[in-house]
Amino acid sequence: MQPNGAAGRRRYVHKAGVTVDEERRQVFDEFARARMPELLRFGHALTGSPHAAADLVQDALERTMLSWARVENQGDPEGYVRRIMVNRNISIWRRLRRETLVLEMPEDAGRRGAGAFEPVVRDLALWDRIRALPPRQRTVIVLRYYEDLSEAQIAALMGSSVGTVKSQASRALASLRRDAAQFAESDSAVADGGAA
Amino acid sequence: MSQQPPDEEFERRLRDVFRSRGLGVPVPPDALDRIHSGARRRQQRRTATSVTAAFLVVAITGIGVGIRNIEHHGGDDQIAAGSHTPVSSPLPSPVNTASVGVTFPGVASSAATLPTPPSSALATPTFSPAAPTHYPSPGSAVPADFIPSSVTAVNAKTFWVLGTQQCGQQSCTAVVRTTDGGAHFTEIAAPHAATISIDNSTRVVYNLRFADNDNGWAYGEALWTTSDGGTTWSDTSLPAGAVKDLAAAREPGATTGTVWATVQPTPYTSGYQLWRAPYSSGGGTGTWQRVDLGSDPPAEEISALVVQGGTAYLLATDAKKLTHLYVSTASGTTVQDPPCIPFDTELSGGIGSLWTTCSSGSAGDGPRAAVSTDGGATWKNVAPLPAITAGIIGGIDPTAAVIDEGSGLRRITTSGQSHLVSTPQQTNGYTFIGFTDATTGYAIGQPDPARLWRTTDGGLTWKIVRF
Repeated sequence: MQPNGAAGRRRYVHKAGVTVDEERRQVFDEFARARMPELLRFGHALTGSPHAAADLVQDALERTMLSWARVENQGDPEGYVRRIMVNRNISIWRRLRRETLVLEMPEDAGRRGAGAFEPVVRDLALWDRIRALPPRQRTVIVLRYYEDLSEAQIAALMGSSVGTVKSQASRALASLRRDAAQFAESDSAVADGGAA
Repeated sequence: MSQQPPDEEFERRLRDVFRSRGLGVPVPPDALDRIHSGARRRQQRRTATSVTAAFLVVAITGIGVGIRNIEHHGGDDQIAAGSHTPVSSPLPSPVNTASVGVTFPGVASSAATLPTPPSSALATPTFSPAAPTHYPSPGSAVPADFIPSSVTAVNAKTFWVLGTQQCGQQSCTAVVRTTDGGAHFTEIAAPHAATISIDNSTRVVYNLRFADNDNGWAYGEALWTTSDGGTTWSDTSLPAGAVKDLAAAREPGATTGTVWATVQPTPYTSGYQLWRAPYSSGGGTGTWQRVDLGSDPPAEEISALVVQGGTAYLLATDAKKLTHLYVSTASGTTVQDPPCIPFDTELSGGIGSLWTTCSSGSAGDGPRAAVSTDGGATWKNVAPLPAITAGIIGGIDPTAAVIDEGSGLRRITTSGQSHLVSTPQQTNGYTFIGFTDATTGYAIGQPDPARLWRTTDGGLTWKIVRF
């Protein structure tokens, strides 16, 4: 989870000819501009799709904008946005992505092994399996291994108990390990020149 | 046979996957504009979530005669409602379907400096749309392209729908009415106001409420009233500012009712106000008076309004951004604590009940619904909710409610039942859920375009309303 950072709480500076309303909007705009790249990255990790990430971030920032005075006053606007993203990702888009995630991976199709930046093949496969996890399990994995949050922090963020987070993480890791083992077998067979 | 990766190695691989992935997503060049316009639409929809509990009271009470001016209730502001611009030609108003502008939700900037002006200072609305290419005839059948945006009902059979329909290359504001539960609709007069902002001079309306067969209000950045069932509409321009929410009800046996409105005097600022006016059949809407919400603590921002009988319930934040439940009656206003630490809290009224949802972020106790049967004095937690952020809720009665769950609707009961109900199609959320009685309710879902759904079995099943 990102701290407030530079986009955190700030005081209004009255400028000649600028109303408080406009200043508030400008502060929101500055916050959104500054944090949008990282929010999109976070959204991409959560959703597994750059397109869904854009939708998710827009949805969250729209909601944040409507409550901006309160959000800014509370002092952690980025945390607010991320909480919305986490929970909206699980609810609104859950069913849609369940149906499409495994079938459509266009951003990977032409990039597999294409450059030095790309991870090895088995990790592309692991990434694909992360994307195919059910939303709650995927969210727990993203928050744990991408955001480096503790289980207690994840529980607070998702509005669930630590026990639930542990069970979700356990199921997700078991599923990923099982898949990883299968891919390892497949890789081994290919390396040996055998047919799967 | 390969071995499972060790935990530490596997966890390292997971972290490496996230680090090595190119997770960056280009920021769309128009991202901020889209956020601004989206927030504006969201705010307009949010105001549509005011509760239909008022219908219940109105539906079971008789039609009164004569306006009885209410006593001044603590506030200093009093504005006579009378300088109207009557509209007798029931022609839909053309609007541009393209949402433009980065104006903040609620109020056009041109209306931003009218806290409480005298009525004589209120200008005629400056909305001046381009000439439409087509005006549908009033009383005619509703075109198939009618898109609903707000619904209001006075009983299980009679309801009105505010929406838009195509007129040439533009969209026109339109109002349709049914008296047979949606089997047949006819188009009636519409306020001469857009439902989508075109520019800063446009004063849009995006919600419609009827208290009885005669008295109705279309509101948003403007306030239009009708006292003849929508045959004619008047732009009252009162109360000054944007009407964020409006609800009307009368107590059983009363000859007059009260219409309540939450008003934001200037855009994107706190200092919301509560106003009210009497209404009666044959007498229209009386004098608007500002209601004193007290100063302990003063309400800065009102997020929800529910009216039941002679009582208005408001969720509002104070200057410290703490949310309180304000309960206002003719004898004064009291302040109570809501059932949980709010985070986009919603409020809804059902028969003899108030319902609320508290979303995630409330001190880690998770999203949940709560119901009160004593006017908000005490609350009972209902089933924990799935992770939602701002689920709209429609209270049915003290035992059941329906909430927005993104692509579907969930029905929850105080006996512990919680299940997704049968809906005609998937949506991206809802802008309205409300019930007229224990069996009849409405939801406006957001597939593209929006659809009005109706239930006649207490929210168990829903059908699309065909216009």
